[in-house]
Amino acid sequence: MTISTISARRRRISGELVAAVVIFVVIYSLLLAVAPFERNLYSFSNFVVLMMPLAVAVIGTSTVLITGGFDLSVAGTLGLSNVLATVLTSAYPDMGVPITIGILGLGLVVGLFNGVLIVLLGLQSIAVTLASYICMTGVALILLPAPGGSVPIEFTSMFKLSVGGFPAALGALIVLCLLWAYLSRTRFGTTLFSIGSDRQAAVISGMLVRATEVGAYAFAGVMYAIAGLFLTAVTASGDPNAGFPFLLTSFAAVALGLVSFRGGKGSAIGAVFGAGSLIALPKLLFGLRIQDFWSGAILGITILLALSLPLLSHVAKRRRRRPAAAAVTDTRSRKDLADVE
Amino acid sequence: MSNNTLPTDQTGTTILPDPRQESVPRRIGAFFAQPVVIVWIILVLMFPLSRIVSPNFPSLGQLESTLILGLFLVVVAFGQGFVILTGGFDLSLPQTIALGAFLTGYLANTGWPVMGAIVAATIGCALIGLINGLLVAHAKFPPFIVTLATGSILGSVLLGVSRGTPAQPSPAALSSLFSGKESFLGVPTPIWALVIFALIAYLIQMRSTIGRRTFAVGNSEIASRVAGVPVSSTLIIVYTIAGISSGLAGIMLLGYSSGADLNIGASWLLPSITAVVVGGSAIRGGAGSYAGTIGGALLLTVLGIDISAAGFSEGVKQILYGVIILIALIAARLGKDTGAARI
Repeated sequence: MTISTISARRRRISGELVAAVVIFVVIYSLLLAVAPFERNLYSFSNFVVLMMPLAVAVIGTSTVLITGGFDLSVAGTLGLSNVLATVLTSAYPDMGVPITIGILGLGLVVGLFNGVLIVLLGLQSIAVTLASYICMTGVALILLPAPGGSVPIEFTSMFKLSVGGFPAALGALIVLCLLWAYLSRTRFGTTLFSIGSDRQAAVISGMLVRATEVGAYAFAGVMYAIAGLFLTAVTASGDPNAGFPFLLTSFAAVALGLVSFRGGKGSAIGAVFGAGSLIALPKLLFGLRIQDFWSGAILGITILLALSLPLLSHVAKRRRRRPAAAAVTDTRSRKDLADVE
Repeated sequence: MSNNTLPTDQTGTTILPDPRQESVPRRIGAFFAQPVVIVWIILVLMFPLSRIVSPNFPSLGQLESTLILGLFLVVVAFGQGFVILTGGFDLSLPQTIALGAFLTGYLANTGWPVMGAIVAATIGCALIGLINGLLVAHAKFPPFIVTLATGSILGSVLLGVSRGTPAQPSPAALSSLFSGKESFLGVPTPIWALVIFALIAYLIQMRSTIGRRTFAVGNSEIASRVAGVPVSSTLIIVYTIAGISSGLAGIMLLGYSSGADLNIGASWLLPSITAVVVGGSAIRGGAGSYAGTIGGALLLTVLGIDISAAGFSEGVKQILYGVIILIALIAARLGKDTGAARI
């Protein structure tokens, strides 16, 4: 259902997105095949709610990655959002909506802060976002020194609503994907991809490079805040280090979504499916009765296989059209020269 | 802290592109505007400033514990920094540290001589680096995600293999060498290890052929290839060296803490990157010096000691860390050719 809704609205579907969807469909079908208890609407609904924090976070991660930047603040914003939601809702149980809006605002501010430092001061994205991640973990630790706290049920149920058996979270995810699909076709989106593939050319052709780049970090910050809220709904408690696992899993999900790590290519929607694959994989191993400490190995191998997919399609293309190879090396060298600055 | 960096910034802003044609004061200004020099100045100033947090500081004991505790960060940051110099990342560092510690402990406890266990563990870690290097150089996969994947696989295999005995006690010889209780010529043995390692690492990165090739590859792979630099083999060697240095860190940590579990490396990934960044290296490769990285590693260590002595909570400690990184980044940025527009 998700697939058809999204694909119907996109004019052009990239090979990467198709591959990301195929990986997810294969893993999820295998899961359904080996685990009979997953074959019902209730389990599906649970699955969607469980994957929401990662799925929303990777929309932000991949947006920044498309511009050629790395955003490690995902772990900080997500964790701080989780802690703030826990601390504030247990103090003011009736203020669910204002608290939600406030936390989204915080994500926006952190994203803007990152973006301004990176773009206006010309600092390196991975270093700035690493620093802001560490700072936010510090703030989270001051607010809530140890994991715990209790989140009122009114707040968690806000994110776990279900309509006729279908989780409202799925609707939210589809809305976010559609929003991204729309954004990627606006001028903002075009500039986003141009920055990632050839920054100099984007500047020369008069695009609003700086504003767009700041915008990408701000957008990502809001996504991380939303992800933190969904995480709070799933765990119903706060943990100052809740974000840490997302630091690496969000990039793993992005890799499974076949978003390019060199910028300029990929789709956040593919990354969402990557997140789905990442959540489904341990469940599949559980269904196969494989001991859980092997899940890291299977995950690593799956990532390496996903990485080699574009390589395979490249080889196939080259076999069909020999001169294509020359064109590819040409764009690579141009990108390399642009990187030197 | 910002007060200390400010004057250098102001002198830094006056530098013109070619300092050779400048007057002596300007050349001095250019010298002090180098990220490496800034880091070392801040590091040296940290010791008298430590008095703010404790009346017992600065002391010889403080310097000693900074160097002993700093050893591990100096070692892991070398491997990480060498990889970053090529424009990559090594995210498999925590698991490689664990492999080094686990293999040494495991082999020594099954009756291997300690030296043999150390060599075998180092070779094991070199192999992990070699695999990373092959995947990056030949399959052309992005280093960030390759090392994330290999780290994930290695961590999982270690968990699977070590079932039942995940924690390994350290062989006695190793403990006495790295716990800081033994001295040689009045200086604790870990400090000797620090000096020897730093010297060798400095020579590899800054003075050897492979070091020079690493700078070239980090600046531009295409240009290096055109100039005849063997890019693939350089990358493979760099990742292998990174694997070895992580392994050595694991072996040292095993000795220092008299034992190791599989999580021993987990807390070193972010500090390894932080030390490199604070040391003034470009995170996208091509520029940086190991002297800066050593300064960054020791600065982070002395900060950690001061913050612990001041009795700050973990949260304040983290915030201070983050702020220091930002200050170092901004100082390095302002110190560099100011005004040269980034496109």
